This record gives sequence, C-alpha cells and structure tokens, in this order.
Amino acid sequence: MRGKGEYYNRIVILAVLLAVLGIFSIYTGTIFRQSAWMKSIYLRQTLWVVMGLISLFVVSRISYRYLYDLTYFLYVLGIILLIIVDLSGKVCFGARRWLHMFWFNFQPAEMMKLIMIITVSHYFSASHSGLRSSVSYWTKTKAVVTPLLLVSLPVLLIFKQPDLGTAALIFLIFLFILFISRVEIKFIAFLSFLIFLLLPVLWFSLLDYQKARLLVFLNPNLDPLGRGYTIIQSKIAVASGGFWGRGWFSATQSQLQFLPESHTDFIFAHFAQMWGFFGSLVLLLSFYLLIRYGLMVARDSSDYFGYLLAGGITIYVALQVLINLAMIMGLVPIVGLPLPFLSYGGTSILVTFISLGILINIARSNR
Amino acid sequence: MSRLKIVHYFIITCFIIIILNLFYLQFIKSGQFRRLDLANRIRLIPQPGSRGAILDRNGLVLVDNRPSFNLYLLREEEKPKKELFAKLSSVLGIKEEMLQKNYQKKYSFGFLPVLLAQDIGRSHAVVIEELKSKFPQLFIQIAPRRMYREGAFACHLLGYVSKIDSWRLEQFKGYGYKPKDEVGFGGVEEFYDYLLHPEDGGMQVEVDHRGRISRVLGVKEGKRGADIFLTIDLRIQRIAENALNGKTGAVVILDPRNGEILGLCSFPEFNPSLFVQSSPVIRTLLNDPDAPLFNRAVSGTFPAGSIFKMIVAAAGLETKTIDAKTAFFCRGAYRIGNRQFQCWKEHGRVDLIKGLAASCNVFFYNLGLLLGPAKINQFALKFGLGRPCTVDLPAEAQGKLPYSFTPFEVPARFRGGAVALGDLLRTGFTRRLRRKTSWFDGDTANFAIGQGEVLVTPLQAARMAAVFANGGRLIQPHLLRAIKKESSILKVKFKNPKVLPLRQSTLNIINQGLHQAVCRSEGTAHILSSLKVDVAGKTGTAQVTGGSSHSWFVGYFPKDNPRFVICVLLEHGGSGYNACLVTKEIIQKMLEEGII
Repeated sequence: MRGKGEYYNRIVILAVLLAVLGIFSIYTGTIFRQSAWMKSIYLRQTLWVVMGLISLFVVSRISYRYLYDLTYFLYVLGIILLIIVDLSGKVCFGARRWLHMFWFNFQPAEMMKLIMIITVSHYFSASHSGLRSSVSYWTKTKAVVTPLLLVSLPVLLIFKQPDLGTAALIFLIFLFILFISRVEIKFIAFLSFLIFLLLPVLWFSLLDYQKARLLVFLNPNLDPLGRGYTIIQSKIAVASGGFWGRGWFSATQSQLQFLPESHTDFIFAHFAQMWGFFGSLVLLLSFYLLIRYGLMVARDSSDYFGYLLAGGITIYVALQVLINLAMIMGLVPIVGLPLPFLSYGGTSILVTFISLGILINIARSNR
Repeated sequence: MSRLKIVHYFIITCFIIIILNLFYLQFIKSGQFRRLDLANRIRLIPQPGSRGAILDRNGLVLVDNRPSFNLYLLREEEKPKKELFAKLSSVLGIKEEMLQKNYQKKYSFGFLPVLLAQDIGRSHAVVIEELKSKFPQLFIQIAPRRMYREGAFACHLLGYVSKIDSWRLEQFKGYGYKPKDEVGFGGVEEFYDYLLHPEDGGMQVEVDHRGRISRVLGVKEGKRGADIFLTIDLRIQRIAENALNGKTGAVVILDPRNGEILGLCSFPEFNPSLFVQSSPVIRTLLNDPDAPLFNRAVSGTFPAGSIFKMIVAAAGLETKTIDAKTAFFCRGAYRIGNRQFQCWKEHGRVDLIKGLAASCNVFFYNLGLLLGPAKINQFALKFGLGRPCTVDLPAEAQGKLPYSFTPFEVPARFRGGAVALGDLLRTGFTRRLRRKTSWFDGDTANFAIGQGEVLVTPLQAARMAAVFANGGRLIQPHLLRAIKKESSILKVKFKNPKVLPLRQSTLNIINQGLHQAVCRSEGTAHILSSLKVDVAGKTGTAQVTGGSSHSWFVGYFPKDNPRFVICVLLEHGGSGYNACLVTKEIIQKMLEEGII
C-alpha cells in the first residue's frame, strides 16, 4: 500500500487551492460594489481561510479518538447553542441563524453538521454489536431508532430557524452514514419510506418562501422577476461563460449585481462565468479528488469510528458540493447551502477546515 | 461491493450529471444565454446629431437648432412603478395616464431607452435630475431641436421638420434614413434634406441590475448636417412678407443676372414649429380652405393675364409680324365672329409701346390673330412657361399652355412620329390646338392676352420678366448659394442662363413699353413712378370664372442695369393696381433700407 501520509499533503493542497479560488472569486465579484464593507469582504475571507488552516493543523495533531470521548459533550453544547440562537440569535434574511459572539457572527447550525457526524459515528461504533445479524429484531431496530432520535432533535431545531437546507443536509448525511455502517438495507428503506410518508406533513410545516422556492424550482419562469429571478440569473451566468469563460473582470452577471449572493451560495455561477467550462471542470476535478481521498481515508481507517467519521466527513463535503452545484444549475430547488471552501462565510470555512483536520488525523493514524 | 464503493460510484454519477449539465449550458445553450446576458446589461442611447442650419446670403440665421431636454426611461427588470409615473406627472404637469400610454407606445426594444416626454424645458429637467437619486433609471438627454425663430417667417421657403412618414421612409431607406428620424417637409428643408440631415450618434452603455449606468462602452458622436447658405436676403424676405401680410398671394424677388432668389413668400402662412411639436393645430391647417401650407409662389398656377402680353409682343417683333411702328385702333372692343372681345378702356390708336404701357387688349387681339396660336405657344415655351423652372423647391408646378410640346424641342430622330406620340401623351394639353378642329380665333384672342389656358406660377412669371431685364437670357432660379460642411464652404454653381435667340431691338422696344407702363400717366403701373428708382414692369388682371380677378405685377428695377426682378400676385386681389401697391411698398422699404 502507498504511503498514506501522501493524502495529508494532497488534501491540504487541494483545500488551499479551492480556498484561494474562492477568495479570488469573491474579490472579483464584490470589488465593484458600492459599500466599503462589500469591497473588503475578500480580506475577511482570507482571514477566515488562514484561521481555518491554523485550525486544520491544530486539529490534525490531536488524535480523533478524543472526539469519541467528547461526543456527548459536543452534542449537548451544539444543542444548547441552537437553543440560544433560537432565543436570541441575530435575524438575517428572515431567519434566525446567527449567534453574535465577541467580534463575529457564528452559525451554530454549520457546526452542528460536524457534531452530528461525530455523534452518529460514535453511536454506531459503540453499539457495534447491535448491528450484528444474530441479535434480536428489537435490538436492531433500537440501533437505528436511537440515532434517529439523536439526529432529529438538532434537525428540528435547525428546521425551526428556519434553515431547510442545513436540516435536510444533516438528515441526508445521517442516512448516508447509516448506509456505510452495517445497518441492514431494509432499515434504511423503511426509514426512507417513513420520510416519504411524512412529506405532506413536512410540506404544510414549510414557510411560504420555502414552498415558493420549491414551486419555482419546478418552473423558474413562473415568476421570472421575483422568486425565479435568482435561478434564471445564475443559469445565465453559468451559460454565458462558454468554454473559456469571460475572464477575471468580465463576469458581468455578478459584477453588475444581476446575480444575487454571488459571493456566498451562488459563487459557482460567478466562477463559471469567469472561467467557463474549462475552469469549472478544473474546480469539479479538485473537488472530486478531495472526496476521493476522503473515501480512501475512510476505507483505510484502522477502526470503525474512524471509518464512519472519515466517511461521514467526506459525504458531508461531497453532498454540499453536489447540492450546491445542482442548485445553481437549476437541478434541485434553491436551498441555502454554501459551496465548501469557496463561499464566503466564517463558520462554514472554519468547520470545513476542522473537518479536514480530523480527516487528515485519521489518515495519519492509519499509518 | 463495499457500501463505501457504492457511495463512491454514486458521487461519481452525480459529478458526471453535473458535468453533462454544465456542458449543456456552456456549450449548447451558451449563445442563447449570452444574448440574455447582453440584454440584461447593454443599453443603446441614441444621441441625435444636429440638423444643419439654414442661413441667408449674408450668413444671418434663418433656421437653427436649440437644445431641448428629453426625458428617457432606461428599461428595468421590472415594469416602472406607478409611484414613478405619479411623481413625474406632478413634476411635468402631464397626466399620469398620458405618461403610461407614452411608455407603452414608445417601448420598442428592451435595450433601447423609452422616450417618456419630449422637450420638457430646462426647469423641469433640473427637477428630474434631482429625482434621479430615487429613480436611477430616469435620464435626461439633451437633443437639438429645430427652432424657427420668427414663427411663420419664410415658412414656405424653409418648410418644416417632422417625423419621417412611411412613404419617405420607403423611398429613402437606402440613404440611411431610419424610422422616427426627423426629416424636412416642404421648402428647402425637404429639398436639401440630404445636406441638412444629421448623422445620428449613440452611446452604448452598460447598466447594472437597477438600470443605473455603470460604464460607457462606446460613444459615436452624432455628425452635424451641413449648413446651407441660401440666396435669400433676410431683409428683402422680411420686407416682402410684411408687405404681403394679410393678403392672399405670393411675392418672388430674384436677381435677373444669375437667377438667385432673394425673397420668396406666400400668404397665408403657417408656423413650422407646430410640426416640430406635432401640435394638434396641424389638422386645422390642413383643412383650412385658404391652404396656408400651399406655397403659391412655386406650386400655385394662375392665369397669366396681361403679363403674358410681354411674350406676345416679343413673338410679334421676333417673327417680324409687326414692328415698333405698327399700330391698331382700339375702340374698347374687338369683334371676332359674332362675339365682342372687350378692352378695359378705349385707347384709340395704339402701337406696341403704348399697348404694353396701357395694356390694351385690342392691340394684342390683333397681334395674336396675326401670329396664330402656335407661334405664341412656341414663344411662351421659350420664356420658360408651361414647364417647371427646376427651382430647388419641392412640389413645383409646371403651369400650363395650350400646347406644351413643340417640335423644336424634340430630338431630330423623333421628329414626325414622336409628335403624334407626344399628342397622345399630352392629350390634356393638346386638347384643341393641335387638332385645330375646336380651336377658334376667339381662343387665339384670349390666348394673346394671357387668358384661358395660360397658367403660370409667380416664379415662372418672374423668370419670364427676368429675360427682359438681363438682355435675353433665361435664368435658372435657385435658392442654394453655398454649403458649409465641416468648416469648408463650397460655393454652388447652377447652370448658366440660357441665351434666348432674341434680337436686341426686340428687347429694347419691349423694355421701353414696360418702362412706359410706369412713367406714362396712362400707364397701368403709373403709381410706381413716384419711387426714387426707375421701375419697369407690367400689371395683369387675370379674370377668373367666379370670384374677383387675380392681381399681377411683374417688373424689374433699376431700369438701367436691373438687379431685381419682382413678381407680385394677389389671389383674387382685384385689378393689377393692387399688386402695384404691394410692389410699391416693397420697393419703398428696400430703398429705405438701402438695399437697392
């Protein structure tokens, strides 16, 4: 087997490459704005990336096995933070997601994604025996229902913020971890069926704007200047990039502010207009390689907790990338998910880099 | 297969789907979306160039442009809000519905701004500039606008400008005329539109999502049309218009030496500015029975009356049918067949000079019958009647003669057969004379005094008189003197006057007759003898069936070495005396201003 330490370098190089692309994209997308705050946003992103890299190095030096012991502490901390956000969080874009901490705004839901991965990994590696085929049916069911309940609590809290995207993502990550764990397929199928039955209930609990987003996804031209506006503009941006793209300062869609959120969730549309198909392909390849290394780390991990944790983290990154890209191209409804490494957002960057730190640490332990 | 591998393949599949979709968008749909991208952000703002000015012979401005402020609305993503129209309505004092309607009517392409209101005035423009902070999609364009400084002054001569009509658009499409262009109608504005017409410029700008101009991509400067200098003398034009004011008719004053028209006016008149504003008054102008839009000086044809006698006299002398001493006796009437042809007075013994001076009909009945209609017709054609003067004004009338086509104007190879063809083509003109069947001596007599089928325009009459003033040359009347394009002045040369084969003695005798008409006490234009300049001329009282006669005066002054030919026509103005009064007023004023 090749030296597993190579992953370490490759993962860091890819992460830095993606983050740098993100900073450049943010720079070109916001430098033409009026306000000084927007103009300087790339500097803050740079700061976050630097902090993220420092966290990555620190975390990669701390054995991931401590996380196993810390799991419930982290879980409780996450839930408390979510409750605090619910009670006193900063309202932004009609949602209560941010927690003002010292000098920056902190998004606990973002952190909760990682905590949930740790929690679920902990649970399945601890109740390892419960998944064996010889145990009773009841034990098996309990082995699925308990983590389901563990996940449901934060998911509901996040859903209430409201942040449909993150809530759905956490749940989806849970399903994937369930899948890569040794849970029998029929449980997963049963769970999926249950969710399917719950869908109508879910629909009525959605807020109006969330319903509208889903409807617009089905037909963006329903309301081209209102709710369909973003998706149409993002498609225009992506498509007008062509093969070679328009260059750094010719991404007119975002630079003239036709494309909203071009520095956060829709950064890929901006990137695609600048760099075209060619650039997008390079970006996608970088993401894919990162995910591939992540899966390799999971495969080669020496213990079950590491396997689930590395797998969960990789799936977390992969799902965010895929959902974000699909959303920009109008393949899935618009949900507020950032593109890892590229989108502006302190918490997201920090959490992503910390996750990579854990991944690298697992890779190191595999040696 | 391990579950991790399944997840791996799942992720790969998702990536492939995304790449395929990316390929679809960025390759197959790229062009279509790129157009959308352009439509999003590129706007064209037309910047009209300014039309050339029209100046008089001394460089005084007849027509120019003034800056006007047009209010435009750049297209937004959304329809303009009601609030905006309400605000504009309160500022401009235009009804909100009118603005809404304007917006809907003027909207053509997404990338073109919409013209909401034209010529809103400087003070309104300033207020709207301040509104821009709230409504960034508004913008004010300064566009040149035709200004007719003195209202109706020289309106027929100059014409007016207005939006191009469909007929002209169809005709001139190849010359770069576009819909909504302003083009000249009538007068010099129309005739020299190709010189005056500006080349429109434009600005290509990039706007942001709120319609604000974020940068200018390119500017094409509008090119100013050429300025033109007319032969008109502003002072003479003003004198002529003032003299004619209130009467229906026309005045033409030209230089007999080179055909330069110094003054040309027609009354009633109209205000060309009405057309620039597309005012609703235009409709009443068009329906006015006095036809104020009609330029009587070049487009109106009137029976020539006694002024035609100059030509009959010239024909008589040239053909040696009579000489200066030949005399006829006037008893106040002349009998042809069983019909009495009247003279306006009993003149007694009349020779040619007296015949012209006193305008004796009997003399010309006799002379006409001796000459025959074909000869008279032939000479009338030589003097430029019955065909257009080819003056540089649109819609010139050609007038009418009993027979407008003479064999000597036909190329040799067409002679004979072509005459018959000409007959066929001109049935209207040849009605009787050529066939002879229904042409009687009475018709010849009427023809000889310019009644009946002789219709002339005032300009033709002036041109005819100019032949006697300049020693037998048929001039080319024209209005254009020079063209000024990009600071270089180009003098325009028109074709040289055509020398008519007239003997000097003929001219002398007729000139004497014309002078006698003024200086003799029995002369029809005796009233002009009190002027400090020697005038020679001929009055005319053209009878019309129904209504009073048209009043004519054509003449030239100073008698020796004439520099001005004047033709005054008063439609239904009564006797020729009335035209003399107008002439007198004009010459008097010209003397006062020291023009002569």
